[in-house]
Amino acid sequence: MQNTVIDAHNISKVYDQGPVAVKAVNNVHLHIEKGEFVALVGPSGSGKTTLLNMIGGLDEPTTGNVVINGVDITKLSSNELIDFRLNNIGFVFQSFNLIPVLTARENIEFIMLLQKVGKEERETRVLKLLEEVGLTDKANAKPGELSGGQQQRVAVARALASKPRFVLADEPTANLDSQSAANLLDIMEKLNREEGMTFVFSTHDQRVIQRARRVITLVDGEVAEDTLQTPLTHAG
Amino acid sequence: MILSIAWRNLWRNPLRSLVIIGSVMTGLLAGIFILAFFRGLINEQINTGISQQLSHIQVHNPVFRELDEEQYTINNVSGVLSALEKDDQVAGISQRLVITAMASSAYTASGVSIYGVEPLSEAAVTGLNKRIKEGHYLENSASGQILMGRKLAKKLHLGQGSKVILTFQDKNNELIAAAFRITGIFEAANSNLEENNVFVKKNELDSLTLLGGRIHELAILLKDNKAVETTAFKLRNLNTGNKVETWKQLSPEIRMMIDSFSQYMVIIIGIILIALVFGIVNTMLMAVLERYRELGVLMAIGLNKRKIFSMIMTETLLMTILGCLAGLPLSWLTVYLTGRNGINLSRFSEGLAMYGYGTRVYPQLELSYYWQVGGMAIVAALLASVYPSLKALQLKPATAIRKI
Ligand SMILES: Nc1ncnc2c1ncn2[C@@H]1O[C@H](COP(=O)(O)OP(=O)(O)OP(=O)(O)O)[C@@H](O)[C@H]1O
Ligand SMILES: [Mg+2]
Repeated sequence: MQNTVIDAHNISKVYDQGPVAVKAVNNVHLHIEKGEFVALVGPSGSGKTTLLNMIGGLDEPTTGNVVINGVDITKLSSNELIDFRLNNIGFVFQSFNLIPVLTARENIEFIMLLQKVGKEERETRVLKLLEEVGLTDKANAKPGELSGGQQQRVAVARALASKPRFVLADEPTANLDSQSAANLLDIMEKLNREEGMTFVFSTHDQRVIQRARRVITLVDGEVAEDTLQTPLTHAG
Repeated sequence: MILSIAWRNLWRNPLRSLVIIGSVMTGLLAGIFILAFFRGLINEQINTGISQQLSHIQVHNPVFRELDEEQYTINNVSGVLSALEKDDQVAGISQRLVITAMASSAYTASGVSIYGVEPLSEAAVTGLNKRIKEGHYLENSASGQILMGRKLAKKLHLGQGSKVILTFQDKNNELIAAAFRITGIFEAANSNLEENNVFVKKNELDSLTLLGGRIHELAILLKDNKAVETTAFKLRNLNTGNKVETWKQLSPEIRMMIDSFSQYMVIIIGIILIALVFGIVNTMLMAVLERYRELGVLMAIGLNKRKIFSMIMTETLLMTILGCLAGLPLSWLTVYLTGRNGINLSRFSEGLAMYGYGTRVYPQLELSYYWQVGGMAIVAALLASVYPSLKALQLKPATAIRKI
């Protein structure tokens, strides 16, 4: 159990604001270990975003609990949850991840400021992360001056800046061309391989799915398939 | 960092921020200028009142002003005068007789107060000689001269050189009628004064009323208004059995105006700030709704509610402070420039003269009011941003992020 980072027990999410209750996620068990590289796939509306949000403490399951590193996050107050997310989970969203008024380096540094990391450590870490995502020369660019792929790379760097237990990425490549998508996956994979960072990402893209080591398929809010595969590695 | 983000957020929609900054600025300018104008009007009234009518201090027999009977003359005049001689703040003293009378012309009659004055000292205290618009001032050499206000002369259908009959009682309550010739017509800022007061030489009135050199009123002009209370205090301490009143006590209207000034301030600034609050609530609400998704991301990655709240508050505060930084100096400059030359109100002076105003107003406002008004604007802005900030807190990151 020591290496378990995510442990979701029997979680369900029911939306019942509309005329009919929607079971977005239905009785899902999920167990993810440190160092995994997981793709969450499934048709549109199958519950990928809902599941990721519950694992990430952004949304509360209707039933069941989510245990992250031994902490049942469904029992935390909303302020405790914010702090928990800050210190344990890195997020990459589909788009508009970054604070538009901050430069790339400031976006990365921001999260460490929230964690009250000292100035020196912040600076070395920002430089290292920018280098890892290959954007050293764009340190002082605002998000608006970066391409979509570059923005997503900054978002990955920011997600890692807080030294999280794992990174959740909801369709991180959805708005990227295939070259940029492959590039982003290279970076994620390298971080996974070299630093053992756990990634869970949802995607529709077949080429992205091929890069994962574990593929969880959701259909109608339920886990239809959960398989291990030998990932295709990208040249370079 | 929050401060820096808030600051940069301001300039994402510069036009919108500038509108708020401009509104704060204009609001302050309007509010402060109105206050300064009011203050100028009040000052004007005080100055006119003091220099033309009230003087700084007046001394009477304690019951004279209540009973209005000529037997109640000032006690121990020489004692009071010698004390005043020693006071180096005194700029002039006018000794007066004040007699209630009926002034009649061939046409009609009107109740008046006859002031018996020594021409030179009255001129030194109220500058009456400077307000003679027709004819000339009282002369010591001539007899039977009277000065009449323009309004009264009109009412009695008299002009310069006309004769007027004054009827009044002497010391023994015998009815006296005396004829005077109008040697000068004066005008006064206070139309009451122009309609009710006539001036003759004191020694003539004295011999008609048989008062034997006693007087009813001492009007004292000081070099500086600041000395009013000390000089009044000294005079009261003489214990001559007279009533010593400063201009504030002599004119309850002026006192009331001064006292109600701070209420004016609260009302005027209050109205302006309420308008401002609505503008700010509206703008910040728009800013929050526009950034719904971004705020959701911020909350998702770990910005807690307190920080989100303070970010929105800081943004509002920054705009208000900028508005104050622009508005307060601008207000000061406006008040300074208009206050230096005064604003000509002659177009409206007919109505104003009735209330004792001159025709120029010199806007003026103490600096402490600027801080107060600026402080109130900042408090109002903080209150105004509470609602938009709370709105930002209500958002759920999961829903906010789904919004494109
Ligand atoms: N706030 C909500 N209220 C009601 N129903 C919702 C809400 N959010 C999601 N749903 C529903 O829940 C189901 C799962 O949605 P979800 O967004 O998790 O799917 P998804 O797999 O991420 O889809 P996509 O691939 O299009 O992103 C859908 O049927 C959706 O309509
Ligand atoms: Mg989705």
